[in-house]
Amino acid sequence: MAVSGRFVLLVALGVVPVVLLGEAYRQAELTLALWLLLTVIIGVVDLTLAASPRRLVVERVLPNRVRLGETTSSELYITNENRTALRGLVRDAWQPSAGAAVTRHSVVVPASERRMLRTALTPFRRGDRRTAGITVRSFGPLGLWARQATLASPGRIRVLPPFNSRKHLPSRLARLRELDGATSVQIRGQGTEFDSLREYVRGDDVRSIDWRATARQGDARAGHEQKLMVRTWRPERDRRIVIVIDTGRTQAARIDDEPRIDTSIEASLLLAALATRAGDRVDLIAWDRRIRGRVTGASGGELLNRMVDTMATVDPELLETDWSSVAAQVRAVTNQRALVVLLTTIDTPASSSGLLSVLPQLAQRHTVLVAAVSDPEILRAVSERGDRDETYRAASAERSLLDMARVTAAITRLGGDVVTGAPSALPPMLADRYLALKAAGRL
Amino acid sequence: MSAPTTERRATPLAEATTPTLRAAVKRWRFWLILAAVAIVGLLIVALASGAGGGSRAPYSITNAAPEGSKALAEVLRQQGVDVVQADTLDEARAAMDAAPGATLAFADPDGLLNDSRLAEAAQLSDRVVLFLPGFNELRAFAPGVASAGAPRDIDGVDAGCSLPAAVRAGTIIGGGRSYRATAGSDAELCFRTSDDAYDVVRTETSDGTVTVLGTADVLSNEGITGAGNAALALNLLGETDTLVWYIPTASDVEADGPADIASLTPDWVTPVLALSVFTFIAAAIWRGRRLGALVVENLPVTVRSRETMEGRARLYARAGAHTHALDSLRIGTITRLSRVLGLPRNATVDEVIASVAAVLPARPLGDIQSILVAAAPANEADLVAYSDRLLELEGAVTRAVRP
Repeated sequence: MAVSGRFVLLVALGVVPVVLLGEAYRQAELTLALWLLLTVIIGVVDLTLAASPRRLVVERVLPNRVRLGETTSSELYITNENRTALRGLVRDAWQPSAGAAVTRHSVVVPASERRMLRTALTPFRRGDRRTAGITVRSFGPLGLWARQATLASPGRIRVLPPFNSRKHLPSRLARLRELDGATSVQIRGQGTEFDSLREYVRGDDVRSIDWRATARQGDARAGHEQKLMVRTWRPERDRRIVIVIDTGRTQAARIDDEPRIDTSIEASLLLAALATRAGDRVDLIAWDRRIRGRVTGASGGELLNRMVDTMATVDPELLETDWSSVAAQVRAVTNQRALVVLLTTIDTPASSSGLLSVLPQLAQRHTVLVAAVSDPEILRAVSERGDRDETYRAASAERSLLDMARVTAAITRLGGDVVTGAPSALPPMLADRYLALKAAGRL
Repeated sequence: MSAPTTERRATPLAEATTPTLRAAVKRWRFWLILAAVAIVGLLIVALASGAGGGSRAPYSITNAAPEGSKALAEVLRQQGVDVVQADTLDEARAAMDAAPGATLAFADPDGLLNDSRLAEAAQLSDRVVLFLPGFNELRAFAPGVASAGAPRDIDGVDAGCSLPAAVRAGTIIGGGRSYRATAGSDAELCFRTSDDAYDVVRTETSDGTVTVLGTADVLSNEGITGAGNAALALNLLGETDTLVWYIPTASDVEADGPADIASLTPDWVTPVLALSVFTFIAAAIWRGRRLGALVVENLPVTVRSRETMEGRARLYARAGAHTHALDSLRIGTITRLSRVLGLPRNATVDEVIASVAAVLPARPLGDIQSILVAAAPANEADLVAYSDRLLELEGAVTRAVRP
């Protein structure tokens, strides 16, 4: 049950009869009591005439997925199964992070009719955004008292990572095509993997003539014409890439107003988009102390879809990442030699000891690439030395940089490769490093 | 048109999570019953204590406490005496009119009656029993009797007079006040407590017989059983068929002085104030009623990335670790200088200093050495100064190498 402002006004209007009759007949107390009784009786009558908020059919039409930052709309269909019209308020109880523009709708639904309520949603957080149901407040014909009920009508919308770094994809794909030889360029884009043998044509690099094959192919004594054979090369294909996203506590830190894990997701999406076009197979593991998400055996567009879907609901846990099991997890994905990309944090030697201890094991079988977000604020703090506090801060920042340099050196020594960059720079840097490795045939 | 049936519905009605009134009552049944029991119990207790306790005032015939007089009144009633309680002078007068010749039992311990009212009260009856009267009451009722102070508690004093009630009582026990007869009065004096001071005094006035009783224990529930107390009380008060027991209350106080603010305000002011309270309550319900429950939002963990760096900086500052801080700054500068100068990563500090000196021939080697390694900061001002010189040196080398 609820009352309206109109009812409050009605109660307050009692001042007129109380003063007038109190002055005229000296019966102010009686008038007050009668007025209050009257308002309550009118309210009860109004309440009994209100349509039941329980006799409603509620249907929801929701888009399944939306990218973070985009606006979508939720449609709510309310069918009035009462014999009287429903007048009142409907609240759609979306979570605040679903970014509903309006949550309260004023509705009038005539008996046995259906109305649609549209709510624009602009979610501002990744993950599943939910609504538990709707609350209907149904006023009587006078709009004084209302019946109220909450109806279960669960809805869920999955907010996917934004993949803002896809703007870097076209330029990297162009580079990939150059590597592939699909684009005519003036470089010796021959690739590193043996493709086939074919007859020499003019213009081929004489260095690529395979004399042994030439000798085998033609036998001059048999009267055949001697043909020169050249080897053709192509970039490596069907290599395996295993992306391991650390979801431990260090990934919760915000850098440039973006949690590290979001940057890691962006970087992994760009790398996956590029690698799957290049014909490599990409697998993804989100790991802290157990598997938070896993994508294996997908390729092409499905790969990216499954990746954003998996990563949408992954948030950093307040746990120290268990690096000792990462090697086993990678082995569970593939036995082949692979490029293992570890998206984590490079902080201090102490906090990175787990990562450092597992690197030799990984580097023995795989090519290991460690990608980490670096904090541009630390670089800025190094050169700000105005007063005493800033100087101490600069010293502290230098110490942080030194720690990171030591961890980086340790990783390099243990056979890994390191990419660090600011949140906006890391995804393209990782993609470039992948292309460089591919061009060098090190996958 | 018939009501929509379940068969016609494509989708069922939405399930309501708000309980219906019946379900809510069912759910809260235990507490509702408990509350009802508690309220009923409280009512019963209140009624019982109201009926049994009555007044808390001394001499009150509805007071069952030790200092009350309920026991006396009940015994008198059993003996056939009609005990009438009067709380105001008007009531007392009405009771006297209804039963002419009745005994008036009077006490005004709080001094609520003024002189004129006391005089009116004195006119009410021919037979008056005064309980522990003060100066004003004595003057109005028994001009021939005067107060003789408060004696020590008497214990078994003989009557020592011819008053029938006193003679039948024999001895009494208790304390209170004592009285004496003024000169020229022919009062009968009983129960002598000390020289010329008596507990019970009977005197004849122009209005009738007035008996002054100075021992509260004779009347009280607590003391009435002692010695001849009960006999004295019953005989004094039970002489007539009707006893009017008049103890003045606050209603007897005459209102006087200027008109108060309540009589000057219009009648409707209080109801309008009450109405504003009701309006406020209605408005509170209007604004306070939520449209459905709050929605739970699981907030993400937020960690500021600079926290470690800032914390360490504050630690340096608090510990005054200026040497340590300068070392960090120097290591950073030397690392960057060796990169700028194109030296190998494992170049020693001396090699870096030599290269810097080669790039900046204008500067003395000792100066460069002092900035980069040797000089020890004595205080924080030194730290800031050296830090500025490090920055300046770095800038100079960078400009020299990459003009």
